[in-house]
Amino acid sequence: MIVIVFILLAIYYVAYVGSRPIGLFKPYAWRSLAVAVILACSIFAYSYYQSKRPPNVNYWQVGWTGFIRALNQEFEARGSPHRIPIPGE
Amino acid sequence: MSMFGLPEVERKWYWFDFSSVLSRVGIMQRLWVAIILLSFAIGYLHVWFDGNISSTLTIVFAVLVVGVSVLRPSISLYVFLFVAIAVEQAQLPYAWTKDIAYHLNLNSQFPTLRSLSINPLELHLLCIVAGVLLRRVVVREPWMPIMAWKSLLAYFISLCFFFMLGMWRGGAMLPALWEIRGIGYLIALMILVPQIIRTRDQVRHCVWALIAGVTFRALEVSSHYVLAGFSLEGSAEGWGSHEDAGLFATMLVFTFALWFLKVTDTKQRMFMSWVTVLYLLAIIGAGRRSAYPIFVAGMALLPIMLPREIQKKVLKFLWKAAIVFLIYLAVGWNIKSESVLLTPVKSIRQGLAGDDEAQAGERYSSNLFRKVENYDLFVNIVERPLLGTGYGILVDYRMPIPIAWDLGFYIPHNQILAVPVKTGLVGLIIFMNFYLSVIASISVGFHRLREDRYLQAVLVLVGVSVVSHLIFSFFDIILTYYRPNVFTGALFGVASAVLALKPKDTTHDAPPSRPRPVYHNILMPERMLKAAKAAEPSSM
Repeated sequence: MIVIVFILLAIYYVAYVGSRPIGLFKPYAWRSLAVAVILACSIFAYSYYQSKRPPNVNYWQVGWTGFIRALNQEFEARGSPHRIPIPGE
Repeated sequence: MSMFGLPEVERKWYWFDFSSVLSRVGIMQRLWVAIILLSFAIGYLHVWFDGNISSTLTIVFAVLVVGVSVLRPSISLYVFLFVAIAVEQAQLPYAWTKDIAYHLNLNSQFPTLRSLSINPLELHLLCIVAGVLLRRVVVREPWMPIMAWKSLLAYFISLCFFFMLGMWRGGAMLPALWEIRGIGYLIALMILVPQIIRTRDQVRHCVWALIAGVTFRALEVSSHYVLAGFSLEGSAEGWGSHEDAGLFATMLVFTFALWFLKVTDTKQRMFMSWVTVLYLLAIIGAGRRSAYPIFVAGMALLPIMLPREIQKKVLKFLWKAAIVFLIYLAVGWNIKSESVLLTPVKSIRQGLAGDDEAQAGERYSSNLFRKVENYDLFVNIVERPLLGTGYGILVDYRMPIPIAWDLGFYIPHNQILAVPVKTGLVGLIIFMNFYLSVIASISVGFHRLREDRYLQAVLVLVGVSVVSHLIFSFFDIILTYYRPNVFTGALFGVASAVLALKPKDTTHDAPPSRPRPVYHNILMPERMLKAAKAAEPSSM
């Protein structure tokens, strides 16, 4: 959710700056690129932070183990090479 | 002597002179003859198809499309936009348009055409392209500028590069093409539309075509919802396709823009006012929680883009509306009811609940799916940060999630996080730069068009479509769906056409009685700030 907030803030900033009348026409090309670079780096920093915090999911409790088995059976019946790994197996 | 220097021949009464007959036949008579001949042709076709009306209509439509695309590409474009948006991509069993396979590959519809991985939408687009190129060659129409063309070119090159990178790394070609097909429509329309739409009237007609398509969808979704007794039972978690709710929310914000800007083009303003309730009902009936943040984010864009004199009125309205909405949320938050009036509160509560099972209710599994998928995507991003994996490579789901379709192994739901996964930091910068350049172009052009409120409203619609496209892509597979890309690409093309129009010479706005105030950006370089201040009128 934070990622989309970053993106919206960038959009609002660029829209605000662009819709004001003077002094901003010429440097505009690099200004949106600069905002894009800052935004991308922020998303990457946030990704690194979140990659260290895996969610706590009990697959049996939420019913996903059986669901994943059923989906794998469907893939097999369809002749698809794809399979979802069963956690813990 | 005759005109050609030949001796006159005495005409006999039994000689039949074709040219004199045709010259005596007027336009109406010729039209009637054409209609009669066409009716015979269609009747013969119908008999040839053994009375199959769908096949007959398909052939007639195809011939009309080719003819109209060559003779009048603008009309073909309006029909294309309407049909592409009105016809569902996912053919749901209860859909009104389930028998119209406009988005389905021809080899899926006709098994004998095994190698034709092209759909009628692409064929129609190709006809329009042919019409435009023909006009370019024959009529020599000038090539119109495309806004943000440098970032568009960079985006297109990056798509090609990361496609080839994926293939080089052993990726699968068909899934890779699926990943970029929708984006291809966006780029194609962004280039094509300004070559066709060149006047203010054509801009209006193009917007009408989009309004017609989205309103048709709103009508269908609302009618399903009402006929189901204001419930989602019998639907696929919401009546209509996933992307419909985003389109409805975008058009709703456009309605507000028309009101706030007091656009004098009363037909569109009146029509959008009349269908506001229909859109609200359709948003609830579509059952997609993403529509609410899209609507809020789109409305937040309005006071940022609108001129200062309107900004205050908009903010006055918005803060009052926000208070009413917060009271409505507070009252309805803990009420367990299936009432249609409380459905938006329920959807927002379930969306914000995350993995809190009590609050999320029946959407708990969906929320958990997205939480786990986001974690997997964050891990993938960190593992290949610079260039990503390339298109066509399987996503490495460290924590498995229940994926129900084959392409789900390649295309995650969170399409925004999928961009750095597939294209790394480089691709993400190019992707964000593209959309930010579009926003920059329309906000700069917005100021220039201050005499034409309608065109300003159209630019607001384009800005909101960017917000809608990106927010919805965060929650659902929108970057790969065809209809949102057609909608957004067409709007980007319309924006280029609007920005290329000469400012309307009107006296609507009275000249300011005092000089306009000068705005300074706090991040402006020092020398530019001094130059701007030196250029200020001395009466300030």
